[in-house]
Formats: sequence, structure tokens, C-alpha cells
Amino acid sequence: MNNPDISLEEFTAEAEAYLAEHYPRARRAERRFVWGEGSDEVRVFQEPDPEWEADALPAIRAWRRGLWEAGFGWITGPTEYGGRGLPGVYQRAFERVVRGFEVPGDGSLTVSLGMIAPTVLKHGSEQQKRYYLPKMFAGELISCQLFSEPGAGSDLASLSCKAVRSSDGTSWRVTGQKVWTSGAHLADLGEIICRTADEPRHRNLTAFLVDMRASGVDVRPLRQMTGGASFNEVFLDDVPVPDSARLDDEGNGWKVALTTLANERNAMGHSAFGGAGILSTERLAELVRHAGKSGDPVVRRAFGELLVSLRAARYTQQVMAANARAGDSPGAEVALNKIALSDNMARLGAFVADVLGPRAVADTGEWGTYAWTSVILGAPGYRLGGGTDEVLKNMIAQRVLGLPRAH
Amino acid sequence: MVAQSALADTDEQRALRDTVRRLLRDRAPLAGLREAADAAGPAPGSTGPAGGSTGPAGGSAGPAGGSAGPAGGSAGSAGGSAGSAGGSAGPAGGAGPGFDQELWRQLAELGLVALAVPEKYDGLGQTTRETHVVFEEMGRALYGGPYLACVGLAIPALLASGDDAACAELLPGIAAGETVATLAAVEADGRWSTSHTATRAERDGEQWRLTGAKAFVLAGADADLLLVTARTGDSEDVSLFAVATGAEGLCSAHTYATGLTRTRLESLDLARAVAGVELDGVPARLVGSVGAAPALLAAALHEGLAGLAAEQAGGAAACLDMSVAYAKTRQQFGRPIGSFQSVAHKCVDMLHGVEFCRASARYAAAALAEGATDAREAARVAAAYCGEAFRAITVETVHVHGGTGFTWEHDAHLYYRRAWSARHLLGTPTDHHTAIADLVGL
Repeated sequence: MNNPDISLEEFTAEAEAYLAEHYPRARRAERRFVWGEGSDEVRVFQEPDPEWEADALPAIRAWRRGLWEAGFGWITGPTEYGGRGLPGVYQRAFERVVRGFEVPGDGSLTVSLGMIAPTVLKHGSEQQKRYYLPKMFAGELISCQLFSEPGAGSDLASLSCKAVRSSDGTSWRVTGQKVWTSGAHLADLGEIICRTADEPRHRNLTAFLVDMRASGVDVRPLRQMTGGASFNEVFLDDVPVPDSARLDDEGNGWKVALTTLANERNAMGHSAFGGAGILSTERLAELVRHAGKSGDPVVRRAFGELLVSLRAARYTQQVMAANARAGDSPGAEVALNKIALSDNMARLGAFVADVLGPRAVADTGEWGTYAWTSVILGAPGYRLGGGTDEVLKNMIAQRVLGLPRAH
Repeated sequence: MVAQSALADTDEQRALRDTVRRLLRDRAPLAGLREAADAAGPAPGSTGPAGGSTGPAGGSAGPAGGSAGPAGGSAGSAGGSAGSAGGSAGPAGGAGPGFDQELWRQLAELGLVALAVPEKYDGLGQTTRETHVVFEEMGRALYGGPYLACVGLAIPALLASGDDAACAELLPGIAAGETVATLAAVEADGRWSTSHTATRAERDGEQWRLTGAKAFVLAGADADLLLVTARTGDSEDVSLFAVATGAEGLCSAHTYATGLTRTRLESLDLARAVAGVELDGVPARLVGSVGAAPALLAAALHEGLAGLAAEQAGGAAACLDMSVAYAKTRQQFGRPIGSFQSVAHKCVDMLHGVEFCRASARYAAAALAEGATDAREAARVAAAYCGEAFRAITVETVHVHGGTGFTWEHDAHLYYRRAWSARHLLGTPTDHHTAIADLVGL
């Protein structure tokens, strides 16, 4: 990367000025956890109320558009596609500044920006990159991921959704069913993997960016065991897709899918514990105090033991990120972070349930108690999402340890 | 919180890692540990007699390195140096010095002992980030010398004392590898705190005299310098004292340590020498101020925990390598056992432990180097995480290797012994968990 033509200090000042002009400063009280104040929601998955979510969307799109026009929409992106071309340290500096303001945030755009856009950058044609990437980062196009099918979960390559090329070769028709699609109901675009020829597994798959508003696309919400609905099933019936929306070559869909999945695991390991205050040490400590158990040596020991697992995961993410920036590109071992996340969710649920006792059985209305049951209910989903822990272990065994394909 | 730039290996650290790894691979092969244990008599763990006493039997331990190490014996014994013990790599007990003194000299010549000693005390002025790399490699090789005792505990205790005169007098010799130093703080109850310290210090003119018993002292039978915690007079104050074990003494204030009895204990870890130390009016000099020991011990303990965690991470990495190599080659049911998911997933779980051990230990080292506010918490986290993960990894290492892994001739048990020993060496997992709850203010 060339030397940036703006210093980090200048950039930070510029970001500060932009945000101060457009958004109010965050109130201090919101930065630190205070028992009994505000919402006691414990968010494990993004399961917003659909109406609220639809209402929030224009503000999120406006936030992205504003960032894009001011030069903060894609800080690390290549300049030829509208990015700012700055190193990752500028991105992190921007994130630090943002925390001081009340902003709509990226909300339901995390899949679009964190998983699909990087896939387009890696596999898209020059024309596609110039067309899609600015629109995605500007919040104009929101994308979702259409991979899993009822008959193809862990064995993704066995998927059966078909894409058939028209006789003149300029377009395709897609028919099939996709499932577990987060944000499909909001999306303009879907990255879809389809079977395009009767070649052996992995070589007969092709990736497209399908228009979610096209005729023949039917999105239905799926309700999860937590009670909320953050994903959908998507039915595609003879949906037209122009050949210009094909990602990478025909038959290269598996490679495209792997890129997206790697981005997903990386994002899961990194972000899931960040938001929602689930793992705020102070929140956990307050829970123990309010349960009257801070003097119980057994609970204190269990609290320390839980923190060991949570901290070790955080340190590992930081060290992996540091080494990645120093030139060692992270390999398949980043999926360990996702496995640690599902382990830690289970540990967290067990700890809070033990502290809560009967208050995990029924909602007494007491602030900050029963809300924790969403961790207990959400934990099994983390073992499944982004590839089951077992599929990830197979992948790590082969790619990191060089073990033979497992049976 | 630690700056991200401090968490990645630098080119210098990579070079240091390579150097230490090569040297230890060539000079401290694991086979040496078994040979030393075999030479010492019945296998440790059997019902045979414990390792020999290097105590008041005294007598000269000449350069041939035949009998006792450099332990100063009873009054008048000419302690002297034990010289190189040739092939003896491990402190399995019995005769001979607890470690290969020639190799120790080489390590010191490379500056490894001096790394984190400030330049004004003839050190290299580096930080725990650099010693972390050395600890990790020593853990990988199960190096049996007194590096953890010197660099992990004694040097940090001296530096924390802020006692410039003591540092100026003692640190250059330690940094040069000429003085082997250790911390003798724990007593029979095994606690790493001063709350129950029973050893007493009585003033005797310009110096002090110590009476009591210390337990589980790392390299205690081999050290030239003991840093001993003792209660001064009848007060509640616990202070730190330096005791020279050799005939010539290390401190100008006194000559040699009369009344000192050191007993090499049979050690679960064949590569870790542990001794009991009895003091009967042993002359000593005060390090730091009266009553400073609680703070000095805490400072040294957290440095020691970070060093130990790095050792554990290195040992865990060695076990992973060994297990994966075996899983690729060992054939059963007509294919490599690593192609069975149950074995492959075990290996991935081991990798998980290794990556998280290395990162936790690395973070703790960087946090201590930067004096970060979460440094002590990070050291405890690393100790607790690495202690348990390394233990679990060695259990699976034996298991993946099948019956072969359970034999004396295989290396697996050397790591298994190290892991179980290290997990309780500087406090137990329960101690660490409870300390973390304290540190975060629950």
C-alpha cells in the first residue's frame, strides 16, 4: 500500500468533524453499564421486530449514503471502486470515533458489507466491481447470502437449486429453495450458489447475484427456538438472472462460496461478542452482586473461570489480527474463533443460569434477570451457524493440520 | 488494554525464537531427561527413594560434578561449583547438578538471561515480550535449567524492590549467568502469598539471620542466590532477603551461608528441579524495605505466571506437532488414524488449545511489558487458560499415541508430567480463578 496522503490524526479529526456535524454525541451513561437503567435486553441474535426493522432501514441507508459521500463509506477499499484506499488502522480509528456518537449504525447491513461485498471484490468482474461495490457501501443495495438448502446443510456442495442458461447465452433461469437466509426480507440482492451442469461435485456450481425483487422470488420468515425471527426461507421459481450478474466463471461457484464463508467465520468470531453488552464484565459482576452471591467462593471461582474463557478468546482474536496485519495472512484457523464463540455461549449460559437459579425458570419482572434466558436459548444456534462446529473442525483438520479427509 | 502492534512477533523476535529453538534441539534433547532419570535410580513415580539430599552432608562437590551440586552445605563446607555434568540434562533427582551448566552458560552468553534486565545492571534492557519468546521455546523443548527461577521470578522480584544497591550488586551476576538465583517464598502450605509466612528474620548487627523452612523452591538445590521471604522479628511485616548459598558469598556483608540445608525433592516433572530449603540462623541481607515482601512477591508472581504460561504454550505446541505427525502416519483399519473424525477432531481441539495458549501468554507478556492496567488479570488468565489447556493436550497426546504413548521411552509422558506439574506450580487453577474475580472487582 502506498503512503496514505492523509495522516491518521488528520483523518481522525475529519471523521470527528463529519460525525459532530450530523449526529449527536453519545451520552456517557450509555457507555458504562448501570444496573437497572435502560433496557435489560440480552441480544444473542439480531432478532428485531420486523416492523421496527423496516422503519429503521431508511435511517440506516441514509447513514451509509452520508458516509459514502463524505469518504468514510469504505475506508480500506480500493480507490478505483470508490474506496478511500487507506490502511486498516484508519478503519479502526474511525470505529473508535464513531463510538462517541449516536448513529444508526450498519444494523442489518453487516452481511452485505462484511461478507458479500468482499466476495464481489475478490471474484467480481471489473464491470461488476465498479457497479455493485459503490452501491453496496453506500447502502443503496443490500445483499444477503443464499447458500443452504433444506437438503444441503453441512454438505453444502450437494445443493440442488438449478440455474439453466438461455439458448442465446445472455441469461439464466433459477429454480430452487434456500434456507436460513438472514435479512432476505430486506435485501435487494442475493449471492446465490446454483448447480449449472452435471459435472462432479464442487465443479458444477456457479455463483450469481440475484435480484431479490425479481418475479418468482418468495421470501418467508422462519421463527427460531428463541421465539424471534432473524432468518428466512427463500423460494425461487424460474427467476430470471442476466449473465452479467454471474460471479466468477461458470463452475467456480464453490470457490466463491468459500470466500464468503471465510468472511462469515471471521466476522462471527470478531463481532458477536462485541455488541449487545452480553459480555460486559461489569454486567456479569452486577448480576452476581444483585443475586447476593458475590461473597460465595464457589460463584466467585466460577466467575473467574468464565472470564478466563472469554478473555482468552478476546486475546486470541487480537493476536491473530495483529499477526495478520504484520503480514501473516490468517488461514483457516480463524474458524477456531467461531468454535470458541459457541463454547463460550454455552459456558455463559450455564454460569448465568446457576447465578439466577429460579429466576431463569420464570420471569419475575425483576430487571436484568430473566432476560438472560436468551443466551440459553440462543446458544445452540451458535454451534450451527457459519458451519457447524464439526464441519469447521473437518476443514481445520485438513487445511491447517494437513490431516487426510475425515470420515 | 494492549496496543495491537505489541502483539505481533517482530523480525527480531522471530530470529530469537529460531536461535533458541535450534540451540535447545541440538543441546538439550528430550532423551537426556530420561537418561538422567534412569541414572538417578528407580523411575520417579515408583516407590523408590526420593532424590538424594544435597544438604548438610556437605563435602566437596568438585568440578567432576559427581555428588552434590553447588549447594552450600553445613558450616565450613566448601560449596564450590559443580562444573559441567556432561550429559546430564535433567534434574530428575539424585546426584549431579540439576541442569547442564555448560548449556546454561551458552544461553547466558546469548544474552537470554540478561534480556529483561535494565542496561544499568548490565542487562539488555528488553522486556517480557522478548523473554516470552524464550520461555515458549524452552517449554517446547522441556528445557530443564533455572530460567523460570531466574528470569521469571528472581529478576522481577529484585527489580520490583527498587533497591538500587541490591540490584547493582546482584543483577549483573545473574544476567551473566554466573549467579543462579531463585525465589524461596512458598512454605509447606504451598501458598503464593505472605499471609502465613512463618520463616523469621532476626537482626544481627549489619545483617539479618533467617530461620524457618521453604518448600517447592524452583532450582532451590542449585541456586547460588535465594530470595527468601521472612517475617521480621515479631511484627506482621514480611520482607525479602537475599541469601548466598555458596562458600564465597555474593554479598560483601557476609561470607557464606551457615545453617542452610537444601534437599532436592523427587519431582513429577523430570525437567523441573524442586527443592526444600531449611534455614537455621542463615545470614541474609534485606532487599528493599522492611515489609515490602507482599508487593514484591505479587510483582514476581505475575511475571512468573506469564513466563510459565509461555512455557506451557510451547509445550502444548510440541505435543500438537507430535500427535498430528503420528495421526498422519499410524495406520489402522487400512488408513491413517487421522482420517477418523474422532481423532481428527481431537487434533483440532489440541490446535485450538495451542493457538489460544500462545495468544493468551503473548497478550500477558505484552501487557506486563507495557505496564497495562489489565496486566495482572492477563497474567492470571494466561496461567489459568494455559494450565488447563496444556494439561488436556498432554492427556490427548498420550491417548492419540495409543499404548506406545504410555511407555517410559516415549516423550509423551515428559510433557504430561510437565503439564500436571506446571498447572499447580505457581498457584492452582482455583487460585487463579478466584484472583481474577478479585482483580475485576467482583
